[in-house]
Amino acid sequence: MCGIAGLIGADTQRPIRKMAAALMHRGPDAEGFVDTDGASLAARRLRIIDIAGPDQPLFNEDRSIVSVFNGEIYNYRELRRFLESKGHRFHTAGDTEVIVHLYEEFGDECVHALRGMFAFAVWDSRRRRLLLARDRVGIKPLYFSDRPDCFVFASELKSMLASGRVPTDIDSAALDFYLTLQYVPAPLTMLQHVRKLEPGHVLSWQAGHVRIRRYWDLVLDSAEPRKRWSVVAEDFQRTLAEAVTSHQVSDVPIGVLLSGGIDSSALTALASRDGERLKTFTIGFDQSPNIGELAQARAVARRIGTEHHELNLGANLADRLPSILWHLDEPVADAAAVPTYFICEFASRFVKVVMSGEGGDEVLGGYPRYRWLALAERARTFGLVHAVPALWRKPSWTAPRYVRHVRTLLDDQPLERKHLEWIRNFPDSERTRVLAVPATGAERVETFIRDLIARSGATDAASALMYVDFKTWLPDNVLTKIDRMSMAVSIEARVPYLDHQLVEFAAAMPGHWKMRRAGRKWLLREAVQHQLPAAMRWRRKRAFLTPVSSWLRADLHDFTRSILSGKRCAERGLLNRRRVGELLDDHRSGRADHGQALWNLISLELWFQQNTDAPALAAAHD
Amino acid sequence: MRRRWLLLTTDFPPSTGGIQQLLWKLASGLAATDSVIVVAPAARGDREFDRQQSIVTVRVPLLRWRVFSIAALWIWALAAIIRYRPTAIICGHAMMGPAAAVARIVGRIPVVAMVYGSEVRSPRILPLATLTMNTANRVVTISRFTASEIKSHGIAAESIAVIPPGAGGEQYDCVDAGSTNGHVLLSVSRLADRYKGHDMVLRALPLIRGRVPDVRYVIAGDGPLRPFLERMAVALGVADAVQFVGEIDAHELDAWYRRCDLFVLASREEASAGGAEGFGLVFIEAALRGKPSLGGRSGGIPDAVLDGVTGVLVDPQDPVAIARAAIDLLSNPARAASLGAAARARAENELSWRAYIAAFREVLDQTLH
Repeated sequence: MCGIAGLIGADTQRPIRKMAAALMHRGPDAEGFVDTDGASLAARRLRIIDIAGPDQPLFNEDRSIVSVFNGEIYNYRELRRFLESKGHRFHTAGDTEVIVHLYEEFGDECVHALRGMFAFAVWDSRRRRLLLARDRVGIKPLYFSDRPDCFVFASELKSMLASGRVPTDIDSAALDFYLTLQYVPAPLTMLQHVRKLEPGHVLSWQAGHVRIRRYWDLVLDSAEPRKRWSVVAEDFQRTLAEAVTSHQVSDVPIGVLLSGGIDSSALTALASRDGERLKTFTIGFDQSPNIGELAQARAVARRIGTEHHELNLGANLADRLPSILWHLDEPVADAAAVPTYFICEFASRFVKVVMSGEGGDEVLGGYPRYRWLALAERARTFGLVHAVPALWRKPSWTAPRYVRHVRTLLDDQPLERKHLEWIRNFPDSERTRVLAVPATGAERVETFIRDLIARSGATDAASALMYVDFKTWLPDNVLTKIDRMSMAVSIEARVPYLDHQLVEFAAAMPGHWKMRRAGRKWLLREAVQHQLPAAMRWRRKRAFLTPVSSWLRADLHDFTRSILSGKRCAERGLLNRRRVGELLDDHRSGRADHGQALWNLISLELWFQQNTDAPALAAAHD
Repeated sequence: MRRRWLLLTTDFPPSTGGIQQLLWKLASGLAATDSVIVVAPAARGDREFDRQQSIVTVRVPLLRWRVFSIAALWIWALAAIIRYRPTAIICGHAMMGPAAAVARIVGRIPVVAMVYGSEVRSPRILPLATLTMNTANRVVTISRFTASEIKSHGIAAESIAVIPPGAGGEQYDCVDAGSTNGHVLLSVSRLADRYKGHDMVLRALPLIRGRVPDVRYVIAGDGPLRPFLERMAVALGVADAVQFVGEIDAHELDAWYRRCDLFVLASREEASAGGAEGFGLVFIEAALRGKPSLGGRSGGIPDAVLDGVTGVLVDPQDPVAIARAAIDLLSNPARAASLGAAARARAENELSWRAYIAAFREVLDQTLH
């Protein structure tokens, strides 16, 4: 696991070292540079595979091709055997060198041979050509900026900024997306001149020309295969077990982040091997023990026989919050980043690699929203609900969540609008109130989601929404969170549910197959029936809820208020201070629950202060 | 005395399909020396077809519900048994098992049951297949793979005979390797079952194209899976290198077999009750045109494609392995030609219909003694 960066242009040597320094946490074990005429690449390395082997960048036989790489290639041994049989000579035992030789063999198509998570760059010095690639799902990050005088790329935004070559203008469209979705979907970032390379895409740069091409997409199938449930379940079990096994390739011990839910429990069950005791890690909250899942996780750990470690997260968040959000790198208003950070930090005392259950819900259809909205779509087709909107006015955005959800379900609206009603942080009306600047087009987000639904080719609502989440929420919120929080403490997180073969297997199933048994991921529960008793498998799902509202009423209240009504926030002039003050007051007094909205605003303001304000930039360039 | 065979089947020409073709070749072949009576369901154009045959075909009317049609087939079969007093019964399909079982138990008439593979993997037909196999004197099947599936249901190994199906019949000209205009990979199958592995060949295609830029993948056949495969080709960025030619007539199909450089079908085995390739006659069709095959190492394919002799077998779940084998063969025409020649020699000598009928006759003889 590593961080990578690169710069093409004049005078690249000094800035590339600053860019690498900004990625220190991603790879504390070593750093390496290559400076050629007009291009520099850098890599920071965390040693997981081939620990004693040489560090990046790695070259081909005649040193004309060089690569920096972030991620893990789980089939690197097979690829290596294949490449050796083709006459390629290897100097290391690791997975990075495979990239260089695969590129020699297949050119840009080499990405198709890779199984795993990756973001890499290949510099072909003979053609003076750069290739950037990102894995199919977007597990590993890659940012780039195409400037008139240079081309910059890096694993994280802060490294991009450290280059000193990227302007910090804010992208107003990104701000729209952020306030609605709580993250900025690719290819946008909050910075107008920085883009994310989308998952499943490759980018080539040559003589100042950038070409971006998609090489993979999720292909849904709604055709009813002539198969029985038992056959599907057995094939799924086989595919999943194989994915988990393949993700256990490592030269260092691997742990599992166990929440007690079915995703991580199944992962623990399948990863556990005879003869070695798996380490598992769970986090709970002191303030609200009812939403922690400590007991459930403990039961699963005992059943599987793991070496189980628990962490109770106390108060005192205000001190750590700025650092956590700095590591988060992009503004992502997902409060679950906090416990994710602490569990990773805790696990890092014991292991260097953890497996985590991210993606299970998006791939297998675990979110209740899928089945409710699918049901609502069906009701809409039958014309059952036309009367309701007239009789029942829309509840305020501060009404309890379930009231809003029920009203959304009954509404006669297109799917993209229902989806947004369900997930949005601020409704359009509130967005205009909380912003001091004019809010730009509200339709932009809706059009974006509508286009994705159309592109999905799905014939049912559940599949369409799963596709949307797979392309937005998953890479730009969920995976950004797990990547940055694990990298913040220099451990590697692996996500077997997002193995592309497993993802493809699930995508080729009709939506209602996944939604069977009330959309409770029956395939997964069946897959571990020999390892876990029914009571543990069929336990009701409880979302991993972070007590963000109570944090913002107690420990974090003063901190939040000081930031949001502080001088720097005022000078930025983006937020309407009076309205923000009202939100804070209402939330503290308990008149309304603005937890998520306030978390959204504090994440945003801290991101500006840490990344684009003058002192932050000066610090980065020193 | 002239021997008399009674063939009971649910599938028979003029309806089309592999089993239909096989049973028709068998019946016609046996009719050269013995008399053959076939009990089969009615089909469009059957009267015309039957008139041209040297066999007696009893056609059973199709009824509105399938279950009644099956019952009618059983009744007609029993009537035929009483009327013709056959030397032995060939049960051409597990669905006809009950009628054969009655003849065997009550009439003490020897029975040879034919099993193709899917019926022993499908839980719905399995009870009938088990009944058929248990009452039959011999079970004839198409590959070592299907034989082992049959054994796993408790049938004694010595009662099972493996006879790979024959192919061809017409004389094929020795074919020029068709690489006049780019390299062509060809798959032929109905697009109904995922296990046929078109998806894995598509995944391998970008890699193949990385080394063989003019490669084209021609997919012959049609079915419900086609839209999915089409979208997949787009998603992988190879839509311009994939050609779906749909369901085509024998003439056009023959042209594609001749045109291709490599025949490929990366079938995999699904879970125990799911799909798998019983043998893979299409490989033999390609072999008859002198083409080498790239097959998935699964099901009965190792009997159809001899690894390193008539083609190459690979792990059907591994696109890199598929790509590697395809690149090796496409970029080494001499090796491809020698595999193709060996495939053709084998298909003409060992897998001819004559060989099939001779082997089947031997099984019938053994059954009578």
